[in-house]
Amino acid sequence: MIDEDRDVAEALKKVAPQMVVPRGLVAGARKRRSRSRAVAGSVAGVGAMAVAVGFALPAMVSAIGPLFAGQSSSQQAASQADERDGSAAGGANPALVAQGTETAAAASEALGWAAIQGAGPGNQVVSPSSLALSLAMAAEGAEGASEASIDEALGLVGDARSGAYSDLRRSLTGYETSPDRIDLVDPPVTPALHLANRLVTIDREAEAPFVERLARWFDVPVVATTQGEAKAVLDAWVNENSGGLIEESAIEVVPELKVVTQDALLFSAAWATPFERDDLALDFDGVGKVDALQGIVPARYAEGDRWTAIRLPYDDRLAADVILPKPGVAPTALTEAELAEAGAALATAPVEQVDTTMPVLDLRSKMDLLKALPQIDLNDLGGIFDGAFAGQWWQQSVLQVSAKGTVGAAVTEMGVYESAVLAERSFVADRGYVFRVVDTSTSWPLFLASVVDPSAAG
Amino acid sequence: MPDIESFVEARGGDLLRAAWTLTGDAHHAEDLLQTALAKSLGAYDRLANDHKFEAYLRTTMYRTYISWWRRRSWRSETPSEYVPEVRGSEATVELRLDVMRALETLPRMQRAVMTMRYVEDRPVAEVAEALGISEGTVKKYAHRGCATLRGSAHLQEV
Repeated sequence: MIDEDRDVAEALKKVAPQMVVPRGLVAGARKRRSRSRAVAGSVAGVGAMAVAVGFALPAMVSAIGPLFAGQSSSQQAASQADERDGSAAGGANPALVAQGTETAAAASEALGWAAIQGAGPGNQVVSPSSLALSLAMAAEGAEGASEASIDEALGLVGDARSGAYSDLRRSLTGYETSPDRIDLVDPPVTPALHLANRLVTIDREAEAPFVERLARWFDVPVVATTQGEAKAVLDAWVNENSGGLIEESAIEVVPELKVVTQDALLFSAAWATPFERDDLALDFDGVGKVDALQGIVPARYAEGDRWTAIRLPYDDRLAADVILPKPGVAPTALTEAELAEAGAALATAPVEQVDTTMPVLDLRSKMDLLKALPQIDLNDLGGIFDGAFAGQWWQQSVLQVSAKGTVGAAVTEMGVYESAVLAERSFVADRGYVFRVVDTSTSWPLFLASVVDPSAAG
Repeated sequence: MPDIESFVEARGGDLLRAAWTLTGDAHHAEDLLQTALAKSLGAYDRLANDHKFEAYLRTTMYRTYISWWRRRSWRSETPSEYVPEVRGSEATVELRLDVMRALETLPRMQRAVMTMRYVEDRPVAEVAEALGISEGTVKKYAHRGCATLRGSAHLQEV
């Protein structure tokens, strides 16, 4: 203990009460352990896609999250490692690895929800998983206050952060399908998913440790291009990896743009039980008649103080949550804690036959994340290259919900700028001028020209 | 090695005290310790050493606290709502309220650092390992936490 902190230590010890261990604490822990095994880690969910239907559809929130209803691959790997290695409280402790992904999943959802709340009125759709991965990539090159700010947003620090987001990403590889093989018209019975990312450098290189960490944790390939080619290079990748649902990159190519990180997610899945109807006219609060799906489907049902919710499965792991606030409560008025509460309640709720009616959706959004999440400091990305900062951060998302299932695509792109030198004066040679090549130490001119028509040869 | 019940009887009080400092409420403290125990039970036989198990359980408890920071029930904490064995003088009660209010303003990671460092007297290296952060960050958070607590009126009289 450092002497100068003794006052604080004494005060804390004085106020913290001496406590007696209540009887039954261990027995209760045993019961909880057997219960949590029965639901097999289903509380660890990641919001791969969340949508708040705000202005036009004011009374409904839907969140689609791959649910780790079975053991996720990282948890399986963790339990295997657990068998091999009895090490205690070290960094690679399996129980803690699982806790890391749990933290990362919760932080992703909080981040996505903050983006929706920060994006203003109207329908908003965001992919928290893609958003978090984009930020996790930036974290590898962030320094100082920016690094602290990103760590705060992602809920973890250093290798624990990289490892947790890497594990979440890899936990979905079982669903991985190439984008051209994903049916976006007739969603497949077995959910199909495609994840991709990339680092694009424009007329300069990124620092080797940054590139190395992106490759190690997130399998990020690097592509070098020029300013002239950049737009076409970015657009083609976005189009291909979103299955054509998102046509072009949101990044505007400007002279100070030197690096772009791209992250894409494409998802298509049929409902485990399709809806019987998709032509119902639903009288939607404040909007009027909208097309709706209707059917009696197996779903988990839960309710809280300010919401009711159902969980509609795609398979035994991926599902969509529809969270309906009580009348008079706007979807964005729900807190992230209420979304988490709904998730936890749904995870343990029994499956019932639920007569479900909800709108058909075809949402599209382009979100300026720098504006939606101003609390995240992206001004010091010096690990990417000296003087780097995020000049643009965009997410484009599409979410379609029909009687057959759900199709979604999201692309998150961060444009990293080189600090521009502020011009003190501008000079444009737009009329006849003199051009001289000179040795400034002797003032001896090597060339001298008078230019009156730059397009002519002489 | 004695059984887990004896272990919890012997060491549970100190862990509960730490959990109370983290959550500011005796019920939440029991809930936190029990959750950590439920997660750690499987390791007890394997570790075959009370000292190692305590480190494992402590790490699990702190990380559970940090990762559950969005859980609503723990957010709605009311300082000193239920404090067992409140035998202190009026001055202690006031100090407690004051310190708990100051702790409440800290981010969870900082509060965890303050508890482990100053209530449990754990060395910087152990705090860093348990919380998965660098020693520099532990020192930074401890410094900030101390500054916050010193800003509260009653602490200045200690």
